[in-house]
Amino acid sequence: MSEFSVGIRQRDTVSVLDLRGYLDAHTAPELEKAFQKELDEQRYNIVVNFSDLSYISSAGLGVLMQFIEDVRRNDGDIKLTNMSHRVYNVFDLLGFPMLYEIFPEEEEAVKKFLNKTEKLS
Amino acid sequence: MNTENTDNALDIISDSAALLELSTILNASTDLEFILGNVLLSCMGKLLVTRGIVLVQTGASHYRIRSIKGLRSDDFDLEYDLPEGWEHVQRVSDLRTAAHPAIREFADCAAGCELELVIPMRLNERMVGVVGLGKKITGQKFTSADMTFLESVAAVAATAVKGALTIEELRILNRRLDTKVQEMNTLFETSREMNTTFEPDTILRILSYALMGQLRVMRFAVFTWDGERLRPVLMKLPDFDIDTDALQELMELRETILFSERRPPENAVENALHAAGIHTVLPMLSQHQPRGILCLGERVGGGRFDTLELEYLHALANIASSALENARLVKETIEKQRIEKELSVAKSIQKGLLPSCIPAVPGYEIAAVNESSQQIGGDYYDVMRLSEHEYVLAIGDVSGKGIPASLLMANVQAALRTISPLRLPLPEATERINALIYSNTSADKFITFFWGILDTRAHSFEYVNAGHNHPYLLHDGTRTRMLDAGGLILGIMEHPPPYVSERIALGPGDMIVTYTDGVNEAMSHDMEEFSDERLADLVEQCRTLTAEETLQRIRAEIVSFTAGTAQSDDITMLVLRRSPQS
Repeated sequence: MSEFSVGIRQRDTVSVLDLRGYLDAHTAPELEKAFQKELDEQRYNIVVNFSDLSYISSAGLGVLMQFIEDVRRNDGDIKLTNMSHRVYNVFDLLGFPMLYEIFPEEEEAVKKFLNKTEKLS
Repeated sequence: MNTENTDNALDIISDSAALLELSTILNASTDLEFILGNVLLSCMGKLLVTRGIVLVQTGASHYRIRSIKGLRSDDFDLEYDLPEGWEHVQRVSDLRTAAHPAIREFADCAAGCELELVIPMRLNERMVGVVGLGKKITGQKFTSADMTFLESVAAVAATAVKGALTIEELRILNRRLDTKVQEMNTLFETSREMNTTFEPDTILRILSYALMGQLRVMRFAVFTWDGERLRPVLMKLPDFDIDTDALQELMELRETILFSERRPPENAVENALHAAGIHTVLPMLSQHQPRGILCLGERVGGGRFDTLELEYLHALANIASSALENARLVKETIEKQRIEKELSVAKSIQKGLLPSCIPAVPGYEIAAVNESSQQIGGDYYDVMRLSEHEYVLAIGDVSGKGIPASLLMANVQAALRTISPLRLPLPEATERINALIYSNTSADKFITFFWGILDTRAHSFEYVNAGHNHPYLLHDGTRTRMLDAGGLILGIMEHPPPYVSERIALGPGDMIVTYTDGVNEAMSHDMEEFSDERLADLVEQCRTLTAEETLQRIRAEIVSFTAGTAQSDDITMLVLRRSPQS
């Protein structure tokens, strides 16, 4: 399906997932695969960059929910950044801002992970 | 006197300036908190009061405290029912003896918080809110000028508060609409995705997404009814340890259960579900028929489902239920089509193996019939010419049904056609056929087989009966006997005991009637078998008939006996008769 894609970048110890296109129940398995891959390789510091995502339905949020417990159990987190107003509105309507850290810019989310790692080491 | 007047005049001018300023500030804002805070601070600052509250209207005669200064919010109730009817500033002490009990109740609370005055905010003859103020820090009493000032502030504030309330209400409505639109989108999407797949796993995955993403529910389970019992098809409840036998009564469930203090578990099943962390149980209906149940755990981030969310949940459960039901029906149809296809393949193999026309044998009549049953029983017969005066006749019944049986039948035919031209003695040829079948099939596959060679010059028939139903021989005008010489059925032993053959002489009018067990075991409607006895009597009556007439007679009897009852086995007959004139 070309309507949705996930790119994965490594920034230091942080994995950045770039979402593009249209994320709904039909394309959600793509995102699921991407998350599963990160978890399989034990990378738990995950930033999801929404800047190129034009639409998200609750199925996309479902994928985030599916992995968050596992990620946090491993001392990681899923942080969300660069949401358009339209995308943020869906998160807001469904009460997700209380469950996830949402940043305007990717940089801030990455920095937060890296600061935490520094403190630990 | 003069000084006092001047003071009053100055006060009025400074009051007017303050009011104008307040009015400008308030009307420039649509933020209710900001407006109320400013109203309180203006009053408190001007009159040197240390505590104050503002209530605003939230329903017909319903008010809620929305701003508090100098007091702790947990000191008192936040919501009050207040009747209309205040026009002016009132002393709390006066209100404590008011006629209306709701006013007295409110006044008591206000007095408890040491509030002295309450000022109604009125717009178009209606109260939009109430300001309450405590004592002056100086201990001085409120003057009539103070009262006038407060009423002016209340009047200025009323417009701004009403405006802000309207905007707030619109914002809430707007958000509710957004939520509804969002829910409709999800339902639409869910329904579209679920109905374009017939994979139960995909349907359940889409349901999981919706539960997690739309409702923030991470723990859930789906049970579906398979015609006999409820079975778990999706299980995301780590603490679920309930014997599914105990769940069966939930199929009676028609309404959603939301466990709460007001609706605690009422029976053993509900207790068990509640103990497993389930908060919500709802029936999954498809075309109003219960097809399963959906159990949900707590929501991440807490909170109960509101009316909109419950409506959504019901719709979601029913869409999923219908999709699962459709998937089941499609699978059933495909399976049925597969079986039908297999049967039609088996049928065409069988038809291909049976001789398309029986060779004419001078001085003899040969008639044959095969009627395949619903499941294709694997019957076989064959007639072929070996030489000018020799013909092979064979009839057999392969174990099993469908394609495997028809393939085994093809095997038998290949063996027969390969071995009979070798002109080996019949017992040895039969051994060879057995060996071929044995090596080509598993031990549980076997064939009952009767075959022989007709010599039209010598008028003899030499046969071997390998475990097949004994054919009838009618000869000498009156005698009947069975052809039973031979040996073991084919295909079960690599080295069976030696087969024996028998050669019989055929006089004019002599007839051999061979058949498969579909004939003597044909079933009537009352599950009665046609039986060997009935067949023997019937064959006896055919003594003067031709081969074809004999065949038709037996067939007609079976048709009338079974009277349309579906038969589980093929009906096959092969009849040979020496013409009476030859």
